[in-house]
Amino acid sequence: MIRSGRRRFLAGLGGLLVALPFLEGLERSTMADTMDRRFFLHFRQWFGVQQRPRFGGKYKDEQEGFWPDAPIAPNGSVALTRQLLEKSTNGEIRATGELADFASSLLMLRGVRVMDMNGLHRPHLVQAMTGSRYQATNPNFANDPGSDNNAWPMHETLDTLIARSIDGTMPFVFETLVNNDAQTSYRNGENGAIPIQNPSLNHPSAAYAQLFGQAQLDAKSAALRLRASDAVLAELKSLRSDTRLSAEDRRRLDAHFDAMNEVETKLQCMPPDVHDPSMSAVLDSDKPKLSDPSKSRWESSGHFNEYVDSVADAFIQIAALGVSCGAFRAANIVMCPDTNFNHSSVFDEGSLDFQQGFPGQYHALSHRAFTTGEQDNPDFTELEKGAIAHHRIDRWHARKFAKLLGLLRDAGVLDQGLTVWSNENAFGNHWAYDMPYIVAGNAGGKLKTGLFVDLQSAAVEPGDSVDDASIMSAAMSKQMPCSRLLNTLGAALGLTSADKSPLSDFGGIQNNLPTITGNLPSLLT
Amino acid sequence: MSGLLIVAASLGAAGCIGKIGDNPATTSDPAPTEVETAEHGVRLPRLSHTQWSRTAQAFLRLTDPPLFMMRPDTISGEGFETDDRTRVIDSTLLRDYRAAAEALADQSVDNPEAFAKLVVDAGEGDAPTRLRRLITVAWPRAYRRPLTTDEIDRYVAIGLAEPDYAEAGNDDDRLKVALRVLIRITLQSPHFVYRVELGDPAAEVQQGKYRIRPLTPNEYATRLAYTLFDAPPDEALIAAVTADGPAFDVSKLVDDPRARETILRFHKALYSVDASRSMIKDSGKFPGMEGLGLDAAAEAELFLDEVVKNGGSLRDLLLSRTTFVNQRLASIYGLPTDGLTADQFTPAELPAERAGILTRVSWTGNEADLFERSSILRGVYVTRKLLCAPLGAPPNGAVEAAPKPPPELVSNRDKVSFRTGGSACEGCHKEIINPNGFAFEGFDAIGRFLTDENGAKVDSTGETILNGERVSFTGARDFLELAAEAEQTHGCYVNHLDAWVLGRSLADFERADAAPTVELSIHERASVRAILAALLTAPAFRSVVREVP
Repeated sequence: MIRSGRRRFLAGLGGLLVALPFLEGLERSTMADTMDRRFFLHFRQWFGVQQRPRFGGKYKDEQEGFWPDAPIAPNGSVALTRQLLEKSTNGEIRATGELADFASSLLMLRGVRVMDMNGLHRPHLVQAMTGSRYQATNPNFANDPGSDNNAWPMHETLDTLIARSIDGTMPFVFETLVNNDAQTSYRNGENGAIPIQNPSLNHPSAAYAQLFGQAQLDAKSAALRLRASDAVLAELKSLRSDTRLSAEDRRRLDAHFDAMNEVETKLQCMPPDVHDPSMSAVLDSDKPKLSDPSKSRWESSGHFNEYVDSVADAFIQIAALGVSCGAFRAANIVMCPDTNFNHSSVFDEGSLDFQQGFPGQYHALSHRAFTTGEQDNPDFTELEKGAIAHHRIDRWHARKFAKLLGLLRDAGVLDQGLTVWSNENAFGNHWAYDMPYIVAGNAGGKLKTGLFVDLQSAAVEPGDSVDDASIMSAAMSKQMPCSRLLNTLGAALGLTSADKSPLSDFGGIQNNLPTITGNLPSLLT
Repeated sequence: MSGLLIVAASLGAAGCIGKIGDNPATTSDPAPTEVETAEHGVRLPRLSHTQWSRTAQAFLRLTDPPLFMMRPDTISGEGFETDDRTRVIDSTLLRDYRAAAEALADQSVDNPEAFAKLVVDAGEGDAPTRLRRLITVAWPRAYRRPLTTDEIDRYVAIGLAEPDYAEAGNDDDRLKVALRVLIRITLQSPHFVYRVELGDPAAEVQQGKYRIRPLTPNEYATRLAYTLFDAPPDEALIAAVTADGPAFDVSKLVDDPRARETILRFHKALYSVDASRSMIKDSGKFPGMEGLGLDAAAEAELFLDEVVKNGGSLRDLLLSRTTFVNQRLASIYGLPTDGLTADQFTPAELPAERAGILTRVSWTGNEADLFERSSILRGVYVTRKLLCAPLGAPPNGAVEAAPKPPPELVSNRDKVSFRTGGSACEGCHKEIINPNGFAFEGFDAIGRFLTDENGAKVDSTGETILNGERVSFTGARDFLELAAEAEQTHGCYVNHLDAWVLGRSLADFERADAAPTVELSIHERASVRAILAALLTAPAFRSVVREVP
């Protein structure tokens, strides 16, 4: 039951119980409950994950550290169980094992590629949620046509399509130290211009205020608002029961009721007191670290990862709260790239004993290199340690994703929408096949879950391909274009194509290859 | 034959309605039956934001209507702002209502002057007594009807149950505590937000597939007041309507100065005046015409208001050459500009080639693009809005597929004829759209009168179909004089006005019932106000209608 679930969630956030009497008193038996609760949350990690390449290449000797430990045939699937996800090797679980609590709610999709693999980061970033190749046409980069930064999406991203299709809104973007360049969420430019990034929020307190807009309302005012609202709802119900009304009148009052319910739901998210200590994780008005949008001070403080942890947690809570309260339909939580993950909350640097010193940045670690830019010449003597470090970073992201899923589940909304953990690359060396797409929730029963699926059409043994061109060719021909996955997610959320059928015409633009659209009916219920 | 039936007959002759490939969303034809059901079943029209504000003003005895930012309603190109289908209720608007209600409630109890004005109806006594009396007397201003005893009891109970009520220091403070929540409730209540028109069930009759239920006197007075004044009815109006019953004379209301504003809004919407305000013209071809739309709209408004104020008729709207010009408009019209300024609009008489609203800068300039007049836009407007002839949307891709005129064609008319001469287009364009648009060929993209174009004589002659018969015309003025005598034109105008006052499209029988009003317009040359008064006393306006499947 959604309502009781939301109560638990609100209780978990602390200080948000003001609306409970109202909730209990709200009888809706004679009113239609047609409130649309669909949502799309996108959790983005950067720099690929630590996984064993299936097409050979640089990291082909690394052990698999990400996907569930189960044999899986091309086009095949296995059931996701807690037991499977908790399997360990030498005491180490796979990164996805952090999600064991949610096994039956997950759809793990391997064997997916981007539409154009040429590129390093931004070209793949803009493809993973558009399902179309990138374009390098920004006049601002006219003098740098080959730059990785001159990569722009062909059209809006899926989150934008979802938000505007459901209720005409735009998605939110929460940045954890991304400096207003999340490269994750785009809207179409006007009159055919290059798509532009959706605005992002990088300050939890400001994000909270913007989303809920009532941080300044005290408990007394909030309670008065609720009493008035309760009385209006009662009048709405009473009027609707008048037998002199026409069917159209009742439809109108139902729509009014639903809109009111939406407003009320948000009202329930209102904290009774912004200074309540239990709200500090979100608003944190007493901790300067969250009040200071500048990360520079924390980079030199020795507590930077604590800061990252706190900001990420705050955005995860805000995202879950926003979905539960209907504050938005789509949002992106963009995790932190280029971050110095050297805190024990992520992994124990000391235990790895890097002989040449700690690599420093996450980006460099993902390349198994010592500094960013050395990705083409990794130090293979340290490769194994780099893989372990990357695996621990993956697990840190998985734990954050699990935290998000837990909040959504407690609020009773996990299966109302879709929550997707994605990455701009599959591996640290910029390959964009076997892209990690982890989907949670079934969008109101429309998407199959509890499955680990390999969407690759044919098997390729590690080491079969050794040069980059061969790897790319094999991956392009054997793996599922991400456009079809994105159409499937949209279709599950009830989006439709131009012909009103379940979404199948989103994205699909390739580079000098036929457009590939359509959804994957086998993943839909 | 009534003008309305003539419309139908002429449509049959034209036979130009939607074809394969039409976009249903842009087709202007009457909606199918299931939509009709919805349109005629509405008994809860939502107040416009202006009406909401003025009702709050009356309820709380405010000096001026309060101003709040509210979610704007989207008005379709085909509709009027009174069309209830454009008035949505969604969470955004409800939040706006809430914010406005909270601000007004707080102001009414926290501002001593506002509080004193509000509670003047509360009389003397303790707080519960005053509260009950105030609800009994003041709340009918909000809900446009007396409250039932149950409603009064409930509101009193809510007020007295407020947590701070008992602790309040004195009776005034207790009253404030109760009013703070009750005003919030009232301004968000469905009884405030909607015009609740339930009608008198005992008097319901069936007419064909429709059930017709007369409005109660309260409901009728409310509908009249909101339609004509965008404001709630006062006690005197309700009393007069109640006392006079069906004999109530609406003409005084129609003649009330407050009605001029709303009648003008109807005509501005009908004749695209608001749209013309933002017209843009190429500064190379038309230097010095920046902001022309503002001048043009101002002239059109002055003219439309003048016609209505002076008891003018539809013929005057279509044929009068009375106008008001500033220096720039006078120049465009070829009138003397001596003594004129940019800001002052002076009465004037338009040259003989012009007639009525459709030959002025506002309409001719609006139905044009940056460089050139649009014969097609003008033809479509005349067909749909002046003559109410149905017209399908162009087939998909027709605009893109239209051939480019060869360079030897120099006149706009020849170019348009060439572009629309294909088999997919000519069905509607050759006989209907183009001729109706070519009648106005003599007015360029900023409304200047043209006789020559690139060395060729401008051709504004043609044939159109009026009252089901083919007639010839020699130019815009001739065309409009013919149209002004056609029952089809008067029927079309009456239909528009009726749809505006009803806030919806008309049921079949309502179109037929409007026939006497059409007769008034065409044969008795009745004024716009007389036509409006006739519609406001017609059965359609005095009842709620529901289509029974």
